[in-house]
Amino acid sequence: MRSEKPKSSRWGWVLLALSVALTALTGCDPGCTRNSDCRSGLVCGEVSSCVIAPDLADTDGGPTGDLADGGTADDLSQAPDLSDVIDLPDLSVLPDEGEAP
Amino acid sequence: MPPLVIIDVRLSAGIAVGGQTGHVVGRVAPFTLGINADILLADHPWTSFYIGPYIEGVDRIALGAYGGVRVRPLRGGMRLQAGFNALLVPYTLGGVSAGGGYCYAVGKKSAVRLCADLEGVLFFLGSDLPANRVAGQLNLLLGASFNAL
Repeated sequence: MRSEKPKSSRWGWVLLALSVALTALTGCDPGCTRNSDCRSGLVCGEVSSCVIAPDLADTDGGPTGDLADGGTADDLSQAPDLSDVIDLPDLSVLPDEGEAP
Repeated sequence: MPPLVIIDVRLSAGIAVGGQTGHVVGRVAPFTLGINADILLADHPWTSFYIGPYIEGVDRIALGAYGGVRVRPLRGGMRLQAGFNALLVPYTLGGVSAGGGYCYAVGKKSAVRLCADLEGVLFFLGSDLPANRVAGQLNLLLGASFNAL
């Protein structure tokens, strides 16, 4: 007597084949599709690659808005006088450089 | 008569697709783990409403909810569904989903079923989306379904 496979088993094979196809497809271009695909501090940019978040790109404290300028003398001139707030140690008592301890 | 309440547990994996015209990007979608209550709405055709929480990981952690309407047109294992997916914490992401699959009865009483579904999701709002963009996901969902009432 010949036994026929139930239709449900065909669904199983279809789903299995699709899952294999999905796994193969995941090997393609690994760009970002969402901000959470990127590391902390980065967001998904216009060309689907992670870039520095706009709100973090202006954290150098300077007015130029350029994170890569490393700060300028003009930036420092705007800093407040902190000498009354911070108690700096007297560095003159430290040994000279290269002197034996 | 179909069960009044079914509890579903599901694990999903798939691919995420995004990008712009002429530059489509695909990558591994985050895994998700969810549990939902499936509440009977109508007997003919077997129609139910489902809703529940889910988390996504592994390279990130977010908590959200999903829900929708499910129809079993043949009153058997096959089911079709349409609804929403929403991530709420720590970022937001919302979209619509549609899909279908099959549940295999385990044992003679069929109180427990193993289910496999394919689901497409289109995310179109939320803080996790790049500006003026949408993102899609094609997920394979594997899970179990239990008759609760």
